[in-house]
Amino acid sequence: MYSSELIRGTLKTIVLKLLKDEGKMYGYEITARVRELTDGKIEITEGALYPTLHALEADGIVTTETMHIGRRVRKYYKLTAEGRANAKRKLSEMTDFLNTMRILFEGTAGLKHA
Amino acid sequence: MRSLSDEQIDFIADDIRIRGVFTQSLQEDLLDHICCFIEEQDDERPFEEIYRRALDAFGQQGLQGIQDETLYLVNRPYLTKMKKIAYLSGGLSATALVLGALFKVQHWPGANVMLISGTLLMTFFFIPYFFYTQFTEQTEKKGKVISTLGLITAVLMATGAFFKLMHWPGATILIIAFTFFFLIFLPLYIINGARNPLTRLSSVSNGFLFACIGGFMMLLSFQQPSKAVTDSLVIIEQNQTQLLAKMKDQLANSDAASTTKQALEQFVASCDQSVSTIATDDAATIGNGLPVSNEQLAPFNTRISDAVSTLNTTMASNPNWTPLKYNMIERTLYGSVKFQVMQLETEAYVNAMK
Repeated sequence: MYSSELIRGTLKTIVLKLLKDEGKMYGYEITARVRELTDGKIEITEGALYPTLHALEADGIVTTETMHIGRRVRKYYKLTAEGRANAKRKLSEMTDFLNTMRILFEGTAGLKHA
Repeated sequence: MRSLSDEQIDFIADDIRIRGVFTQSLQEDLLDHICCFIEEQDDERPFEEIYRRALDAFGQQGLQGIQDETLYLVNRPYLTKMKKIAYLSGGLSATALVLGALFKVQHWPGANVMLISGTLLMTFFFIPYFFYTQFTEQTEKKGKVISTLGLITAVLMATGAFFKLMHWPGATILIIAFTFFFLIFLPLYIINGARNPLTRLSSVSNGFLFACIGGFMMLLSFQQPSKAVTDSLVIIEQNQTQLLAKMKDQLANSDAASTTKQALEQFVASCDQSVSTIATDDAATIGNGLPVSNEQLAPFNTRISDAVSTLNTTMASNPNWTPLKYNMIERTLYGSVKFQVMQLETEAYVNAMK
């Protein structure tokens, strides 16, 4: 488990990445998929996920599709056209960020090898 | 993999509502989420125990915490916009009010326009937006109560000031109510803010600012006409009373059937009526029975000057009579400060006064 501080800053990007790859997903599916993909190292809490999804919906980045399952409603979230452009920007920013972090944290090690 | 009965699903749905989640779309999300969680549990534990575990996963703030967070995130862009409106309108209205006050004191034209637009901006934009954003940022009940109290105080202040400016009735009641609320709000605001080290400095300095504004408001509201004005009013009243008394005296001593007596009687009656009209017509007056505008003064002036000229014409043949002179009473452009002293005098009377 990583600290919630690290996860909080990346949650939005993780959600966008998943929706971009999978098309449409419902809330529980997102938490389960992240747990599965990261071997449980990243645990998205419900307390953070739903506020983020609703904020994305209010911003017009995602839209919902409801499906009735017995007595309950399941809401699938998917990217809008605007959301796809937004996701692309966010993901390339994240990739760039990860590279930068790598330079920052492996920089000295790299020099030693050189 | 277990499955949930309809009753169990209804139970969860109701429980989510009872726990304070009132947003429908969030209710749906949470219901589906909890159901998925429970369905995934393979063991034989009873439903209640698993449901409790599902709730535990939502952390300390619980379901309502999720809703608060959601509402905050969704409303944040609007709140930021509202804050901008609040600060902008606050700055503009403060500028208009300060300049308006300066112009008013200097008797420059345009003071009323500035004062009125400043007050309107403050009443309808700054105060509601500022206190609404303050209110939504308060998480504790006590903070919400105090900001509501602040909103009431501020609305009373602004409307009271506006009523006073427009000379509408009810201004005094509003300002007394404002004073009452202000004296409750201010200490609560400062004490509550000072307890928290994070807000100590800001609440004390804001409190000082509020105290200055409130005190200034009260001074403005309870002000009386200046001494020069009240003095001149006293002189007007003395003039009139003395003159009328003198005329009544002359009346009593004169020949019953003479034209002098008739003319004087008519004049005294007319003046008496005018004076009583001006003093009792409350809606049209401010302070010590002073009419608000020259329009309202016009009938008064006409009546007396008519009475004076009628008297002068009738008495023209009397060798002992010196004509009366009447100077119109009028208000100046700037409102309540300058009056021309009304003179109603005979030469003999002036000499007697010397």
